[in-house]
Amino acid sequence: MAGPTGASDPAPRGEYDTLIDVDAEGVDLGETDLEFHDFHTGDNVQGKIPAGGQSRLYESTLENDPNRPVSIWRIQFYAQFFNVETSDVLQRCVYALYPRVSVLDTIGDNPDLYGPFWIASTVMLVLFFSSTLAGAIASHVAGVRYEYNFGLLSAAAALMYGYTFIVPIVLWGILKWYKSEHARLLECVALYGYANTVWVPVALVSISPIEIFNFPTISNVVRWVSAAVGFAISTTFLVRNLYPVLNSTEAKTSRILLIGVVLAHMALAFVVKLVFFAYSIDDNSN
Amino acid sequence: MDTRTVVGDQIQDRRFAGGDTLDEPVWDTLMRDVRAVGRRVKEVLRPKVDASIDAESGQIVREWDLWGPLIFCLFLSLALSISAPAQQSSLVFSGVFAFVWIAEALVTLNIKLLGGSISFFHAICILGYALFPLVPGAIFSIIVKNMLIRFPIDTVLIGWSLFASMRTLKGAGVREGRVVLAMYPVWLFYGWLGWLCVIT
Repeated sequence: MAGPTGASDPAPRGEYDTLIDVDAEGVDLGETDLEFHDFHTGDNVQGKIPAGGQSRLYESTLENDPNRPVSIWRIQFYAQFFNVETSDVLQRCVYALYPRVSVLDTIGDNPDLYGPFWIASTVMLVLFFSSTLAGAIASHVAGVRYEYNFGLLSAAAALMYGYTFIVPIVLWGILKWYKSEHARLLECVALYGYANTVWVPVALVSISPIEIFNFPTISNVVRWVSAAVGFAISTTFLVRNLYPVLNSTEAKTSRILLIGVVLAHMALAFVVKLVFFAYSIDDNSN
Repeated sequence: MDTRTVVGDQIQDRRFAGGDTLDEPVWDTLMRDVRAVGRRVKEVLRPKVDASIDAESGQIVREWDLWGPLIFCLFLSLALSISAPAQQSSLVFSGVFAFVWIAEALVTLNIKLLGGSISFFHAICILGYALFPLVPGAIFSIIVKNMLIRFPIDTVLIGWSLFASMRTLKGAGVREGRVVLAMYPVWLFYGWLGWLCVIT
């Protein structure tokens, strides 16, 4: 039979046929304190992780208290920026490629760092892949042995990581300087990160194997067109989502910021085309 | 000296039974570690998925070490730098070496941040051991110059690495909805290294 109160009951719950809760709000020790921790499998909670809380097997349960602030020096702190599911990330990428709605509402309450970082990495590797493949095709057409340039990888890394992380920080800094209330660093980074998705198809199209058939000019045109289309799509995505944020400053500043954002993006498109896809049949040195 | 002890109803392999390893010949010390690396390579790369052996193989892989990853990374960088364009050899060597370790660390960090329950070095150990199929791929690229021949072979090797690492990581303890997010960087990692073997 159950004891008079649940708190002084030494045996774990669930072992009795009838359970009488004398206290409606008794002392709730929490089940984790009474259970034996299973150290062999990962215990994953259902649903999203609350900020700062994460089930670590070898930590005391006291540290799982979500009310306790998590230090910036622990991994748990950064786990809150990765609180997304596969479907979320995929949906945000689709929005970036087809920017018909403002996605700040969906991203706004849960901006993540997974997208920006791994999309930038993907673009870096795909740029290297497409650039070297295009170079290999060009060399094959010219009958010369292809020699790849490993520096392309460091160039791609510097370009993508620099653009994805430094430009949003600068933008956020400027917005803060002009005392805009809507500026949030994580949102800016997330927006720029997802806007990079478009460069993956642009890079793949720019491989442009038409060169095999000895149409170098058409190849070049295809590359410029794809870079321009990529610029258009990603700028639309960026501007559409940044517009309410930029508008929170005064009219003149917001116009200047808008032009700045567009110009920075145009510079990125130019660099992508010129550095990675500037092969011509005559010279293979790139 | 490896011994098998019966603990409960599990058979556990211990790396050495205690006893004095200070007086043994250097060769024995080396061979013990070499044999351990070999065992782990076999466990990680076994193509069969046999549920009954999983407990034992899990035990072998759970004792992580970083010798294997270091050796494979070294050979991979060496092979790729030999077949790289002449003036780029040292750049390729240091670039690939740095890329492998940084990428392994980032992939593991990614898994932990997504809520994975795997230990940090354990994951790096698995990723490093699954690099093994690409090493003969890179060596093959030194001998065979034709990219069209290299491509299907390297594709198969990449597939083998991916299959081995994903099977051993077993989702790394992340939730159902995030397994793709956790595994995608692994694809990037092996895919890019395989591509480097093709174009080198």
